[in-house]
Order: sequence, then structure tokens, then C-alpha cells
Amino acid sequence: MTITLHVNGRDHTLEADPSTPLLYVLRGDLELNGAKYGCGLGQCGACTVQVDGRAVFSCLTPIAALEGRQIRTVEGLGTVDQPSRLQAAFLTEQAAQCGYCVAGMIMRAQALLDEKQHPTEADIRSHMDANLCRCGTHMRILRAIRRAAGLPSTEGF
Amino acid sequence: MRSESLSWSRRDLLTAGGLVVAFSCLSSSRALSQLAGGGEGGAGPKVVAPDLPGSLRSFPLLDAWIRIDPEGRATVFTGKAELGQGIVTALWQVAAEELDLPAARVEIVTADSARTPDEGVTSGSHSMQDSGTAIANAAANVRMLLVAKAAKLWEIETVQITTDGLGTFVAPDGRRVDYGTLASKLSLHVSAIEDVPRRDPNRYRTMGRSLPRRDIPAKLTGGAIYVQDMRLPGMLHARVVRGPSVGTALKEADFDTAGRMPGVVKIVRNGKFAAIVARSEWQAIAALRFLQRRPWYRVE
Repeated sequence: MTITLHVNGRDHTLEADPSTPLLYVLRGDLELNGAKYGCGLGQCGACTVQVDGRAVFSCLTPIAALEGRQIRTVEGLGTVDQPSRLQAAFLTEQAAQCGYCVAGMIMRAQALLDEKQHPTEADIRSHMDANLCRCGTHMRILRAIRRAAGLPSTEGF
Repeated sequence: MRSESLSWSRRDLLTAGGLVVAFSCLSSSRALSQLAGGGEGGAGPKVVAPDLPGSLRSFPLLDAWIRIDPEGRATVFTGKAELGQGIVTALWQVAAEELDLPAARVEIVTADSARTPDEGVTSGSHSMQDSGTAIANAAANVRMLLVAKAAKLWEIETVQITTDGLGTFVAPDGRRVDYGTLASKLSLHVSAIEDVPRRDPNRYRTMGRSLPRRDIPAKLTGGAIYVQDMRLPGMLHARVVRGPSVGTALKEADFDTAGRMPGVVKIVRNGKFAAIVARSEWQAIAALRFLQRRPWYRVE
């Protein structure tokens, strides 16, 4: 079927089976690298993007459900030369080892920051619970989110 | 004792619980090849210069590792791959230090089969040991040759010449010449030597400092940095058809119907092996899932 998806502020009209998960359209059709295939089961969060502001697993979300929705990927936040506040915080904290999870981490955190300007430590931790980092960079990732949220770094916490 | 006669497996050794001390007096090519570029899972290319450090053993020519353009910018080549362990940044620092150039004037190319030395696999903590020592030594060789060129130009002793860390050689009387000018008069298509003057660790400018990792910006912004991000012209996608879990196989797989599913280009079969090739990744997965709905059996 022909479907129009609104991604990072632009409309993209494409031919795809309505059951196709958003992830495959983002990576395959739109050639956006940010969202990653991790588990394909919504258990790791590497594929996380925003849909109407909320963090969703793009590997599980069929495009049939997405016409007329605002889809945002990490490419929609900023660039290497002009990173967003959150991306800049990840850069400052060097919050990536292999980095495969990090675009998903950023998009989940962005959903929280869009909803709550001043999240608490508990807000951050419970919100980020859905995303995994196999390298174990969680403490740096949490520091980056605290930095973007204007919270103290709470070293060693 | 030749290393070829050592046929003990790791398991044999653990079972015996003994201590084995082996040494080789003969420089068998196999023993040497295990020293360079191998890491876990296999040896690197043939050793041609056994006295040099790290992967210089297999690739002793300086221009395999370092080139300097007429503007004095260096390009460094490593056969090791960045996997998030930070090796591209570490090797970049090593090169900048031993060339005594600002890191910003050094570019580094990693694991490109057309351009970089073949350093085998990237694993087993071998990157610094093999590539780091090779690059450090090659960079020190390049700096030594540039110093020799400056000494000839100024008709003074090499020991009188210093580097300012900014890409310039300086004579005691204040005369200066930049790396690019000297490099354009110099061939780096020469073999490294082992005993080369190295930078004094007390005067390190780039090593021992924490530099931002070179690979992180692309990872935060959706840059093409993983193998999954590679897209070739006319690229197709495939899935290997397997049973639903380990130790199972499909029986009576309906390949005819799968072959007619949207986007499916080909079904590759060879004995018990089968794979689906489709135009898009999801079309390959959809056909695979269709096939996996069929009954399966336990493989012996």
C-alpha cells in the first residue's frame, strides 16, 4: 500500500506492506541509521524513536498505525556540527562504548525531557528502564541525561 | 622443540593440570607468524622483518602506515577496527605523539582492505600491542627521516634540531622548516628501523591525555558507522531458513509459495541449506516467517 509518514518534519510517501515495522522503513526506505535492530522483540530499546513525543519500539510498531503521526529519530535532533542539548550532553560525558544502543537511549530520554522539563533522578531511572546497554555504559548515560536535564551529576551515585 | 610438535589442546593441558614451558630456538615461520597481527583466531600475514615491533614485522615500509602531504598533514593507516573500545582514538594519539604533530593535523584510516595493512582480526587486546607499537615506531622513523632532511638542509647535526609540536622543525639559530616542505622531498617507501629515537615521555604532548573519542559524534547523530549502515547499489537482503530453535529443522517447507511472496527474488538451496533473498529486509523476514510456520523436527 502507499503510505505517507511524517518523519523529522518531512513527509515521505512510500510503498510498503502495512504490517512492516517502522524500523525497516526508517533504515531501509528512508536510509536513516539512528534506530537500530537489536532484538526485534521490544526487549532492548536499540530501535527506540518518538511517535507524537512518546518513546516507542520501532521494531514492533507497524507503519499502518503511523499515518498522520509525528515520527522523530535521532537524526531529527541535531547533527555532528550542531548537536541538540541532549546529544551534546552525551558527547560531553562520552556516554557510549560500542554505541549501538545510544541513539535509542537518546530518543527515550528525549521523550522524558519533552514531557518533564525537570525530571527527578527517580523519573530518569524508571523512564530509562526499558533500554539496555550491553557494554555497561549506563552510569555515563545517566550522567548525560542529568546534565541535559540540569540535574547535578551526583558522581558515584 | 619446534612449535609444530606442540599438539596439546587447552583442554588437555587443563585436564593434566601441569605446567608446560615451551621455547623455540628455530625461527620457524609458523611460530613467528603467531607473533604478528594474529590475536585470537588466527595468524596475520607473513612475517618479513622479525626484529621490528608489532605489525611492522609484516609491513615494514613506512608509507604503509604514514603519509605526509605537502601541507604537513599526516594520514595514518591501521588494520585494526574501531569497535567502541576506543582504539582509533588511542592509535591517533600514538601517531600524533611520535610524529610530534597536533592531533588535529593527523587523520587516521582504519581497517580498509584497499588501503590499510592487513593486521588480521581485532581482538585479544592485540590492537595496541601490534598496531600501536607499529605506528609508534613508524611515526618515530618518519620524524627521524624528516629531522635528517632538515639537518642536511641546514648543514647541522640532527641532535641540534627540535620539533615545536605544531608541525615545524627548529634549528638552534631560529631557522624553521615545516613538515610538509621536508616531506615533499622525502620518500617514505623505505623500511622502518628498529632502533629509532622516540619521544621523551616527560615531554609527551598528546599521549597520556584524555581526548574525546573520534567515533562517538557519529554514533550520537545517526552517522553511517556500523556495518549495518552500509548500503550498496542494488543491494538485496537475505535470511537463512532455519528451524524455530537450535537443533531443529523444517520439514516440508513450502518454498514455492515463499518464492512468490512480495519482493522475494530468489530462494537459494544447497542440500539442507536454504536462504531467502528479497529486495527489502522486511520482505525477507516475512518470507522466512511464512516458511517457519511449517512443521519441524529435531536434528540428530
